[in-house]
Amino acid sequence: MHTVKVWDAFVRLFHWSLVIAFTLEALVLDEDSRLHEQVGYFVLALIGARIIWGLVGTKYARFSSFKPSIPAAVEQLGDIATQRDKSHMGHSPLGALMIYNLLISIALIGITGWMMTTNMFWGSEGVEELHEGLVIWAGASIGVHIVAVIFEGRRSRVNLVKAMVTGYKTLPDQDRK
Amino acid sequence: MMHYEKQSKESLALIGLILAQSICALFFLSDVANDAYWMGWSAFGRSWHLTVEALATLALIMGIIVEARYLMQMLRRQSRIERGISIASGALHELMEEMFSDWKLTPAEQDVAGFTLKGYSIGEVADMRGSREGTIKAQLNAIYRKAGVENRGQLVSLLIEDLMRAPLIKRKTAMI
Amino acid sequence: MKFLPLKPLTLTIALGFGLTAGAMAMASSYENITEEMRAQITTKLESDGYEVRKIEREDGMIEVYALKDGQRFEIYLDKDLKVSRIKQDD
Repeated sequence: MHTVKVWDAFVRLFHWSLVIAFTLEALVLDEDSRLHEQVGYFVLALIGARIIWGLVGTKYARFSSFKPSIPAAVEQLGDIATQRDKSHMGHSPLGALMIYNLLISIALIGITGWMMTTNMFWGSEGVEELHEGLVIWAGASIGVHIVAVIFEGRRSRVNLVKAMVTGYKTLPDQDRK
Repeated sequence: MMHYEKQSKESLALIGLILAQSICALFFLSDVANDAYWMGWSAFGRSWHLTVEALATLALIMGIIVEARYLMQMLRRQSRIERGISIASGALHELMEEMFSDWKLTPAEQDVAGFTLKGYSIGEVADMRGSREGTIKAQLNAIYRKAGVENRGQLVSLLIEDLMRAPLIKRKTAMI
Repeated sequence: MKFLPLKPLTLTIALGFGLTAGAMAMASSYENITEEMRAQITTKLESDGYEVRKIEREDGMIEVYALKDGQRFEIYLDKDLKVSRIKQDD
């Protein structure tokens, strides 16, 4: 067993703040309330901060360390299909795609939400349906994300959830002898 | 290799199809859930429309599951071709796949068997799979047992024997 | 194709069924504000200087999203289409 520091404090704080905020927005707060709007803006600010951090932050927080790549993701699928045991430092290729999906979707939810408060789109059914559709898409993506993290963690024998809390990944030994 | 490129496009196309259908399934699922929530579960009994919609969504999801399983199988084949297993030809590769299937090897065992027949050492196979040598040895024992042989040499013989019995294919390929 | 868990034909039929049946299903809506009511509401509010954007049901009342003098409003009407509350969005 050896441990590697992977996720810095900001990434971890960002992740769990987003979890709480999204849960509040989607499941707890009344959608017509002022609080719903305010938490929405908070989420947009969170994502804005994450984007900046993705450009100037620590190694595994940077977007350049997990660029979206379909060939790499397909290769990872192949590894899963053949039950190969390849663990990744930072985000895996499939993980990376999910992160970008969630960042973009949730950002769009916030943006469409804001649009609904403008004169131009006031009362617009289209924007409202887009907002709701995106929430369903993001919700389903989060469901897949949770299942994937659990399965990938089991498969590669690394506790990924714990890693996102403490920042350290505990990797099983790759002792060949 | 043409065969490989075509396969790789097929898996991408299949992934795209699965994604598109998943989005549709998500849409219909949320629609059914929304209707059931607002109109009550009795709505299923009152009108056939909601029931048909729910069944259609279920069929769509079943289709997606079948496709996903097929995709995993395709990726397994592709992964072996990529690793140069079928350096020989389609015939040798097809035979291997058939034998693995007959012996009911697990995906992991299929991978190990393929590499072993190709000539990789246990250490090399362990590296490529990210496993321990001990794991590979255990998997090889399972493979030999399922194939009804005792060692690597006999495993290779099984393959060659079958190959000699199989009719030669029209196209000219170099068999090493 | 020996790698399919099902015969190709069965697979195609299953996929086709899933797709076309799914496509046939129409999105249903829960509307009980008639065209007539909408026309009445719109005419009445427009004569009061509002630009009507959306009319829907909300908590048993009729809720109208409208604009007036560059301000956003939510206007609530009762079942007799009388204005019961006007809320301004800030």
